[in-house]
Amino acid sequence: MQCKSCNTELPKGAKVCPKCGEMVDDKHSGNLKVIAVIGLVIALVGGLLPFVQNTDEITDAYSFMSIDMPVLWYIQIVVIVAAILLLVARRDMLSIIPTAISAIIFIVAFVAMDFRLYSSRNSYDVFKLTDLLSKPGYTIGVGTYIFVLGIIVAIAGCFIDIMKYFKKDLGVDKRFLSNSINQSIWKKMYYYRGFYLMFLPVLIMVLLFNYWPMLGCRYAFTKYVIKGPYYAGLYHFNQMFTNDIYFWQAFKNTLILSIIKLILNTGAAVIISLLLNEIVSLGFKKAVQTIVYLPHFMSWVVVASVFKMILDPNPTGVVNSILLDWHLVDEPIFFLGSEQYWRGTFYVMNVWKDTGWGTILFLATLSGISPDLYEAAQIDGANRWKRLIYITLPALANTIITVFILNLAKVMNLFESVFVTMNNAVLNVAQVLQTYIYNKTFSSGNSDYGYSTAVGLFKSFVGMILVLGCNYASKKVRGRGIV
Amino acid sequence: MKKTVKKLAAVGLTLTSVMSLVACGNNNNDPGSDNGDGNNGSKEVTKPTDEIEIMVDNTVVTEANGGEAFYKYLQELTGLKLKFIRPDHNGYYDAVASAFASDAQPDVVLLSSDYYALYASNGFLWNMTDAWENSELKKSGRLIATADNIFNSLKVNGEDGTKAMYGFSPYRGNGCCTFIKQSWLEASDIDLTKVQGVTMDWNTYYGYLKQMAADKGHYVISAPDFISMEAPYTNYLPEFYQKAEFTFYQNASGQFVDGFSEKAMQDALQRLQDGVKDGVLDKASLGQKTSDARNKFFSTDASSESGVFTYWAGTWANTLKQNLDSKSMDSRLIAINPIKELGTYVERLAPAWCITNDAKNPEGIFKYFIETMLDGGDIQTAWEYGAKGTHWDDKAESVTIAKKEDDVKTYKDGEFHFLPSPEKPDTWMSKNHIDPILALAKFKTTDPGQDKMTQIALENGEWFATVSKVATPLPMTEVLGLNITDINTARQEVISKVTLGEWTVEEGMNQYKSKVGKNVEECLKSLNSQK
Repeated sequence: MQCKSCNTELPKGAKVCPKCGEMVDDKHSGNLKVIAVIGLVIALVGGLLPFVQNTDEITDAYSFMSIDMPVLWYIQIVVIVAAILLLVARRDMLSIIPTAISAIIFIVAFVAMDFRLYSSRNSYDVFKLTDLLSKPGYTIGVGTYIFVLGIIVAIAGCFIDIMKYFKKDLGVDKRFLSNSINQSIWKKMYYYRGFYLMFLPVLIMVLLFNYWPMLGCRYAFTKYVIKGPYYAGLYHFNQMFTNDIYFWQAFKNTLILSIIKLILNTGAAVIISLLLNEIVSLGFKKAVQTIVYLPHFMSWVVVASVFKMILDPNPTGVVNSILLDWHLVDEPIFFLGSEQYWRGTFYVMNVWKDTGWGTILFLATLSGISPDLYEAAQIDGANRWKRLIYITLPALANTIITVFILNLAKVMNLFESVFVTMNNAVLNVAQVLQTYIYNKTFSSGNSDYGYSTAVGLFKSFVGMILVLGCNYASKKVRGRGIV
Repeated sequence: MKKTVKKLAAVGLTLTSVMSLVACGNNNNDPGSDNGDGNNGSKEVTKPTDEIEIMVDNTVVTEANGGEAFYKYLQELTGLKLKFIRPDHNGYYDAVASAFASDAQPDVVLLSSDYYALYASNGFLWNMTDAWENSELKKSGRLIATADNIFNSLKVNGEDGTKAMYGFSPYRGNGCCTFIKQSWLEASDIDLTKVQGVTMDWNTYYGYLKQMAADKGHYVISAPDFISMEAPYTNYLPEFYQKAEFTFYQNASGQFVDGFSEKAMQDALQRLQDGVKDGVLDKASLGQKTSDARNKFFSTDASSESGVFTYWAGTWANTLKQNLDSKSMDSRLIAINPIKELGTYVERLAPAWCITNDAKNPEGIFKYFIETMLDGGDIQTAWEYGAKGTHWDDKAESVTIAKKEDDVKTYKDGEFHFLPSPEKPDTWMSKNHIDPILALAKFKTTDPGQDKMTQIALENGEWFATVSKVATPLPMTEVLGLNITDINTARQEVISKVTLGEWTVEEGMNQYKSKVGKNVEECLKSLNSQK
């Protein structure tokens, strides 16, 4: 056996390296057990879903969120989090203990605890799940299956190391990595304590503003009553997917508007970059660049006001008066009030506002193309077009794909630009998920926060899939991920 | 061992923090909470000695505009310990919701009609019916003639479904009336005597609108959207909607019906469509902000100027005139009577002062804080004009406003006068929370600021009270709360598309029924099955 620190051959049974004094730790420190972590997350989610469900009435459902003794749920969350932390600290076998505790808590809750059914504000009926299951119409809910599956995966995952299949041989002698890879995480943290201290404010901020609000996700499973939201199982999701009038329309519009906008903005940015690249006069080039960058710094509210003025639907409007004068139309067009024209106008506004800013990356790439290539091509008789096709575009391709992938992850976050330009006449083509959530939450005195949280949760879920997909695509294209 | 202890401590801390975060979000449903019974008949009303927490929006002078001086002055006058909570104006109702949800309820809260009905029906507000019935203010004889209508409108369903008064409005909610530029009528050779002080019918009124549109070559009315987003929804185009109801309402037989599905609304939609087709209504009204519609009324550009505008009565009657004057435009305006088919203008329900069930001495708070807002003396003066010495004064002095230092105003001792606004020293202070024109009770002697009110605003405000009726708030049910946003969205979509001519009235109604017909039925069922 060798010392991890100095690679000296150690005497049998030595506890300290005789050369460098490093403690000898013969415990194996393996990879993160991803499958086990996934299993625990599944179990955590399972706790939110119905353990027992009435097949006729979807809101008649019971999970940890409706348990009469909520402390049991909190302990369950704590032990699952503890199991995850142990896995992160590479104490895989130890993590099985809290995992098993969480399973025991679940069984105790299922068999012995009372669960609440909302009757009216501050008043509940109390049931035991086993009693309910003996009644007709009640069945084991999806939460039970998911929780059990999660626990099985979490325990089994402790014995499966899938990360080793993804590990690449770095081609470096392990001796030189010993200080950074094989040392315990606590030692490393102590060694770099200065950096960790500097990181602490950011960590606190992220926990406070990014992770704490996530606990509000639980409201997606509740009917929101002021001062007393109560568990409603998958009611909102069922409503959303089957009964909602505007949800699918908003979802479809989000994807259409975002993706077409992305394609147009990226395409326009490439074209403008290529044109800018061809400008010989540096002064003129800089002036054009400044002009095309400027709209990016205007707020969407200002942009919308400017376009509303230009596209005024009365014959005196700037665009309409031109169209009428040139006899291109007989009647003024209501660009922002007609389903036929709204999307086109929206794309034009987006291209006008963001294309200039999008050119920065492409221009940087273009400036990095070796002039030798152009010179050689010129000697070979290639004209401008040929040089563009065979040199410039291939050199730019990687950046185009990168920009496209990075922006694809953000397609669900469409709000401000739509919010300030849409109106009641174009809802069919303009309403997106974010504006829909906003309207649902703020346009009536009796906001159903439970429902809007459920819609928001679904949006985030789709967004997460897109981010992970883009991360995968990014790894394939440029060899490294975006997250 | 030391390492293990450290590790365990770290894990322990992490778990504790997670646990506390989760526990913080828990709502403690205490079944023993106050039921909000308003029965206070046998209790002796004592003056509150504890601090009273009051949550208000920016309709009370803001802290930047001398709010602290007002609080101090009010405390001196009432002898109460008051603590004002001032959330951001735009996020006011989010802050109110958070306060109620987190058991940090104030003792007193100011709520608009939608939220008032919601919190009352959820059992958070104290029933002040008895307190009001036994109050000295009610017996004082100083209440204005239409005050009873306002107080009756404040009776909404409580948690048990019975109607009671859970809030108090010290002033009328005001509403919109239609102003016509006299110069436009003259330019179209329309006889003023047939417009001013006369109750026109729709055909006559619309005929005049078409005549003006033809003469000017463009629209006459540019409104803030074709339908308002909040109750009373039809108030910016009342002549077009006439008696059509945008949402659910209780008909003469006491049944809740869907006003939007009725014939009156179909006729209204046809009138709107014709209005756009005939060039009377500005197409760009769709989604237009109130300020943009207002600016078109003041526009000096003849191609975008509007000549008829339905806007707030009272103070705004004077403000519209002043704005026209400031642009050297002809400022003669005629506020027309409601047309025959409309009958009366609609007055919105004013925000209500409510006492929460958490308040320790609600009877005392009502008597010594809320009722005194209309005491007809110093406290009413404070609520109408602000703090003496900060917002107004009656001592002998000479005052000016910034940028107009040459224009010195000199007052004698005892003469009421406004001081420069603490927030904008280049303007005069004008009013505090209660608009003097809209106050529900007269002063015991005379309103100290009466001379400072413009005659136009005063006359218009008084006239509006005689030609309007108070809107009735829609009771809230769980089913209605779940569906109302989608139903209103569908209604607004139909109005917009029919008005712009993209759908016929029939197509619009079919779309409405196919989209939200089922939801409307559910809502009606829930409204009609209320206790």
